[in-house]
Amino acid sequence: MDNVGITASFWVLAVVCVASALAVVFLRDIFRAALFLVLCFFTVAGVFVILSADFLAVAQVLIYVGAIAVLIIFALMLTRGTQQGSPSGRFRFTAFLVGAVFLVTMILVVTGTDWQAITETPTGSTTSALAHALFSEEEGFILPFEIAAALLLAAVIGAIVLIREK
Amino acid sequence: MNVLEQFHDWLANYWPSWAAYLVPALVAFAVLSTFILLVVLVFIYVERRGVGRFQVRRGPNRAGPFGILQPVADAVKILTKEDIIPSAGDRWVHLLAPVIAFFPALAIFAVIPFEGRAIFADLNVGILYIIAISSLGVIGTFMAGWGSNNKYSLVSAMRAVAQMISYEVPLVLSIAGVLIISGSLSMTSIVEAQEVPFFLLQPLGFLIFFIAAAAEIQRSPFDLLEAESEIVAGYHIEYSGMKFALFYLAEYTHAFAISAIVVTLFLGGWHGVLLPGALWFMIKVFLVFGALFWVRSTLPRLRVDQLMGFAWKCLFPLALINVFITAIESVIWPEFPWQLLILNILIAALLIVLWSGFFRVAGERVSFQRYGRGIIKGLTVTFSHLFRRPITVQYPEQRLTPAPRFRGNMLVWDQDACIGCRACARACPVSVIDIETTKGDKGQIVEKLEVDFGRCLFCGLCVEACPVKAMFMSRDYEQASYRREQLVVSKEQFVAAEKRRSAYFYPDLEAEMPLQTLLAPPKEES
Repeated sequence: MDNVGITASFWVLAVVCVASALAVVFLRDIFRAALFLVLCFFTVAGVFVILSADFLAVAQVLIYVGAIAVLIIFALMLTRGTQQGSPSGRFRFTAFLVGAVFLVTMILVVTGTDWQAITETPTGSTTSALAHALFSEEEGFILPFEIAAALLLAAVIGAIVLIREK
Repeated sequence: MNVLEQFHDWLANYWPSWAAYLVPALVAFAVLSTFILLVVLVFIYVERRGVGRFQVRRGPNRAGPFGILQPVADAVKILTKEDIIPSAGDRWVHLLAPVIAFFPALAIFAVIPFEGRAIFADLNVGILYIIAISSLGVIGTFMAGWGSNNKYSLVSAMRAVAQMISYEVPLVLSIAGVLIISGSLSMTSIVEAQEVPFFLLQPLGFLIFFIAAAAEIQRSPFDLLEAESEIVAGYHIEYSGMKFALFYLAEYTHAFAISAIVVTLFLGGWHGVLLPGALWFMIKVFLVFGALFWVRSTLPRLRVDQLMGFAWKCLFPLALINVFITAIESVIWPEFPWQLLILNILIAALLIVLWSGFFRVAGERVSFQRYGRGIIKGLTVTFSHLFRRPITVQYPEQRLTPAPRFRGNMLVWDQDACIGCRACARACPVSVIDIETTKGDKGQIVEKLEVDFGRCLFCGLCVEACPVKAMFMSRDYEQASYRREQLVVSKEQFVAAEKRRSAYFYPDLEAEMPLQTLLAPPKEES
């Protein structure tokens, strides 16, 4: 029973996710594109839920939808002329090139990796497991974590210094 | 195991597994959303009545006894309104916005434990889920502001996002203190960890959460995005009918959700004596909601820069300090004995008093003695209004008795006492009294008396001029008509009119008059 339900919801989520991702790229109305980006992030969170990665799913919504997408929309609102659609960019060719290179790289990486599917069903919550993986002093990533925190702090301070009026 | 899972297990014995999975979820969803909508209707009624009491004015009191049917009347009214879609706006964004604004408010309830086992889904990341979901609400506001193609709604949406992003930071940080003590993200475990309600162990966190939550749901004094005097109605200015109703419902559902979260995190959830847990939960929810609109009815709206400054310069650092102190305490006393609450309350009070000294208003240092006491004083004043005698008057059926010497808008004429001397007509400075007399057996007989109240000054000189106490001012304070000539009152009308004399110029009449309603002492009530 679970398999049918999960498979069905996976396909629904997958189709919506890919469709909204395409909409983000192809829509000319940039505000709607941003809204489809929100939908795309949301469906990715749904996929995490199916994989029993509850913490990841919540973090996905919290960070990507709650913070990043909202900031993107906020920036859009402050931008003039967004309703006319995206202007024809001077970087059209360059952007296409970078996009194509990125796409090819991703396809190569995804198809070239030997994915190992876990057969056992995941049990329990992932929160404490994640905490142990991140913060435990023996085999955790406490040092990289702290370095990342210091880096973020430096970035925040740097941003403040940059925008300060002299 | 919660009630929902029990239902599922029981159903699995009889039905195929997919139905046993789906049906309990649908039933629970239907029950939960019906319950939420009912509570929201009660909230709307209670708030409108309550704010009326707090501010010594009227709430809804016409539809049904005590105006209890007002939400129903509003719902009917709203359903029959015209549905307007701005032609230059983004149609689909405009239509979807209310739904997206309403959804997160409803979705929060999935993890609210009404009782130990009455919870839709006891996620072990419960509180994180709430934070994530409630950050979605701002997108609905955004879409409404953008899709309506209206400058006011756009300004309002920008304010909304600036406000919600700013206040989310102290909100989340203030929860961190609770999480350190309880050691879990699950809502049920947080409640179970509260032998002492956390608002005692985390007084500073509780205050910050309460203030930031009020800002998150845009309730006064943080309701800048619908500041009527500046941006008319805010982001839902172009919405009418059912779409507006959804925004309205979303606002109150959100208020309900926030109250429920406060109760769960800080007030011990369903814990309580004697009464069943779910009842305790709802009582606490109503108390928190009452506090929300108590604050709303007392404090004035903040300015935009004050709002942002308050979030970033006051709440944010205090929340950080709170996390820091709680973390230190958790290292020293891992068990968090209840005696800590004394220390924590002292720290909270000290921090608030000290921190307020960093701010300046109009070039002057903010002193807690002045502003803190001002706020507390204001709150006590509005609270004391709860115990005043209600002065509501069901106007057309029930009238206020005015002050004894009130100069009402009609004259009272005593035909028997009148001697037809015409002193009143001569005294009238605007000559609106038309009186004709003929000679009778015992003096003058009044044949015609007409007073044009359309031009009357209500100066009272006619009353003062009358030598025989035949003319009085009236206690009535309304006179309306569809035509000017109806304002001209004839002799027959004077005779037929009810003699509601005012004590103007005749103080001895005061004794026979009913006491003035408005300021009468409570003992007079009859």
